[in-house]
Amino acid sequence: MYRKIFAAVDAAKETVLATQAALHGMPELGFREWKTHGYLKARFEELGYTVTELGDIPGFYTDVDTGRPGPKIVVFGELDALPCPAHPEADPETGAAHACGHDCQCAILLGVAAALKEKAVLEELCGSIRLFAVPAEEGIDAAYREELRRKGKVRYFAGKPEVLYRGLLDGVDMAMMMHSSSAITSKMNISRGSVGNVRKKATFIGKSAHAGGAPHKGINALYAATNALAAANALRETFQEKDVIRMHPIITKGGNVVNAIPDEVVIENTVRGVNYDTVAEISHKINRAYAGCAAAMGCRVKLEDIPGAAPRYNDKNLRDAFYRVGLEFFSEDEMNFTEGTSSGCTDMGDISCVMPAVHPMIGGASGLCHGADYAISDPELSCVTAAKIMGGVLKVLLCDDAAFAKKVLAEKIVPYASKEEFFKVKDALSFEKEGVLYNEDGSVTLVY
Amino acid sequence: MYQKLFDAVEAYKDVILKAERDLNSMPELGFREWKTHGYMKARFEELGYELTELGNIPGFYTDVDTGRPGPKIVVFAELDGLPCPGHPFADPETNAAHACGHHCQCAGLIGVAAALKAQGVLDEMSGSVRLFVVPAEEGVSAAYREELKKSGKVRYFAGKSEVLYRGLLDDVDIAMMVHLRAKPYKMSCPKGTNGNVRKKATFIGKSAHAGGSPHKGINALYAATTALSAANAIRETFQEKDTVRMHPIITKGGNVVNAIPDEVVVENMIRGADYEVVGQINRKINRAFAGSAAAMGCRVYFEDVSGSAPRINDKNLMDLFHKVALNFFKEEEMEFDKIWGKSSSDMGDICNVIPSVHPYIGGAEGIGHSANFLVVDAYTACVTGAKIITGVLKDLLIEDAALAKKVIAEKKVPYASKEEFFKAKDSLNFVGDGVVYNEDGSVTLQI
Repeated sequence: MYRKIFAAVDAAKETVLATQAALHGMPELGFREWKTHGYLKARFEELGYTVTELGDIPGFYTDVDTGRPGPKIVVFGELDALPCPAHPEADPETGAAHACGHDCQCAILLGVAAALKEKAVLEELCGSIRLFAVPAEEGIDAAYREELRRKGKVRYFAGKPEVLYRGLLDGVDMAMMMHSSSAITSKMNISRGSVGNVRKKATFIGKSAHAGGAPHKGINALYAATNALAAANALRETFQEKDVIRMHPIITKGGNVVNAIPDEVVIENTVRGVNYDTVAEISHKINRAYAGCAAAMGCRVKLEDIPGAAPRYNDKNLRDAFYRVGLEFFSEDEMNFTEGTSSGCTDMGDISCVMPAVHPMIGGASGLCHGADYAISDPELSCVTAAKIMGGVLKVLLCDDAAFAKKVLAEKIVPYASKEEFFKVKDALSFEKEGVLYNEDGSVTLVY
Repeated sequence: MYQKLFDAVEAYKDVILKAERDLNSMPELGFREWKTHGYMKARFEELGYELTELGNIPGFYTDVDTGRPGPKIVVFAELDGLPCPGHPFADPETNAAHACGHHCQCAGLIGVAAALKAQGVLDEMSGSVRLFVVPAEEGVSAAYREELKKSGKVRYFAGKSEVLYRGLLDDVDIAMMVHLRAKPYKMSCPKGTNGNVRKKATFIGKSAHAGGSPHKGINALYAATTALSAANAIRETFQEKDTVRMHPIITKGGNVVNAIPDEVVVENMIRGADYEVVGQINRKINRAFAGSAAAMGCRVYFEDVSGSAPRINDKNLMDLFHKVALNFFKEEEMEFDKIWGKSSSDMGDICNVIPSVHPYIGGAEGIGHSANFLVVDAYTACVTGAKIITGVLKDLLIEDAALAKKVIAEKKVPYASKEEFFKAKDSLNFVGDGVVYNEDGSVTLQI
């Protein structure tokens, strides 16, 4: 059944592997992947594609129309790397490295693009396929992205919500992509989904004073912050297993010099959980803890929350399709399809909130994801085989008058009925306020 | 110059020393010292005194009038013991023991009363002396005293504040007493001691099964521990000059380990050299408690009661005690006007409106308020103590009370009237909810 499409990918094997190698050597940070964008665009154009570029940010897409009516499926390839300065192939200037294997996704996308140019392959399908190179999956570089947002270049801090918001997925019925994995226990794995998150910044503001000479004239913002963390940690008691909550604060500014009472202390934090509602509830509690503890020390606190990736839900039928095609390459033992929830986040979550989506992990990598030892040790598996599986799944979905794709659509379970509804909930996680107000009557108001 | 008075005390020493032994064996808790009251009343009546009793609480006073106009001086003796289980003379039922030596004050006051009845001692003096047996110096039994207050029997939790409030010192110009103390000094007197506020904070959360559904609970214990952490961090703002002390305890910390604690009680005390500073710090601590309660989604109920005011020993009165004590002790056996004491006494309330002095006399061993605090030299503690008091009275009131008038002229008391003082003291009282959850989702801290 898959012979033609597998053969078509195999025919493009050299280009696919060369693309992975080339992109691996030019890692770039999100929303700045212009070299990667240019390289990949050139390969698509060589194949005869006309691409629609995002314009003010890297990324492009192209549609492959079978000429027969049917659903539209998007396949993503992520362009960005992440800062990992200790990585042997890191960019010496930016510290960026492909320590998450997104370079393989671009190679997969190219393999699929090449295969879909084969007339014999397309003949058996209906509907259409959008091949989409997207920027900025990694949740990093908040300051740079904040700047982009201020300038009006982006509305969201990650590539996929941005293209979703821009309407570039408006006619799309389902979404998929494949991500490299260094898991040694399986060649391919898919979890039930992964958590969503909110990124939090709290700036505690006290009053500086000489710590030896006049500590009584100061207001210690560090103690406000450490008490806030103690209170936040105490709230862990109310986290439920089913919600897979993660909270992992760091102090990015903890005082200027030891002999001055710290007057400004910054806590950055991320709260993750299986659905946005729970994340919002916990984030609200944490803000209350911050505001209360700031007031406890006579401090003020500025609360700034930005919604991160939404929780990801892997569509059941799409999972089944990947499993079916995976069996063409792997034994059952080599695949790990679990009902667990991954506690890492991806902006594919945003997509999965409004359309059936799937985000399987394919082997071929080694080392620790986001670590300096992360490497693509088996590019044949992580790029060529992956592109074949992706092609196979497209075939499963779109052959026979797209019967399976229609089943996916008929049985889809997505949390939000429209992107507008989704963005309303996502945006509600944004919060920027003074948490503590000192009233003239001597009372204090906490706003959180 | 003092011989007649000293001889008169000496002549009465058997009664004084017997009283010390007798009272040591009948320790009672504050505002309940009825046996002690009865014993003292009998000794005073044996001496021919007519007494004015406080009535609904133990205690009485009597005035010794010289017949010549002049200032009025009060000499206090405290009636109460304190709970000290394990003390060899502790009452097996109440645990009360004289682990602070107040019974020596009573024995000494009998000596003073006897001396003032001696032939001719009043001849050279003018003005008058009020001998005052007062209850409840120790800051204990809060619940019992709260009950007394609720039933309208007392307004304040300590005897001296109460008698000051009742107007029983309205015409008094100078106040004094001598308190027992363990080594090293035969007599000593600090510049003053701390005042305090007594605090109770009840953190209120929501109970839930700690294993099955902790997410349904609101943990009042974590609110309390966060509150203590915040309160301790505020220590950084305490200044040496204010000699601040804060020493909280948790009197209720949860019911069972497998339920989220829904009610946790922190009792606390803040002491300092100045009532205003105590008030300022008290407010900071309440803010810390309210903020931390809100941080965990809890409520907190505050019950602050002002304790003893800071005690300031009058310089002229200290000098007089020092001078008279030299008749009995060597210079190196004494320490006057050197240090600031950190503990509190309700004599502080008196000092805030009347020039006062509260020196310590030796004769005890062990640690005050502990099971090992014992009178080892009752003669010094009671007989010599009484002699010194009579000597000081004489110094103050002879020659038309010239020295007493000097004390009054040079007095430095923080408050011009008892009304003003009680206004400041009462402002430390605070009862109410510290955290209010508003309908708009915000929270108001009332501190």
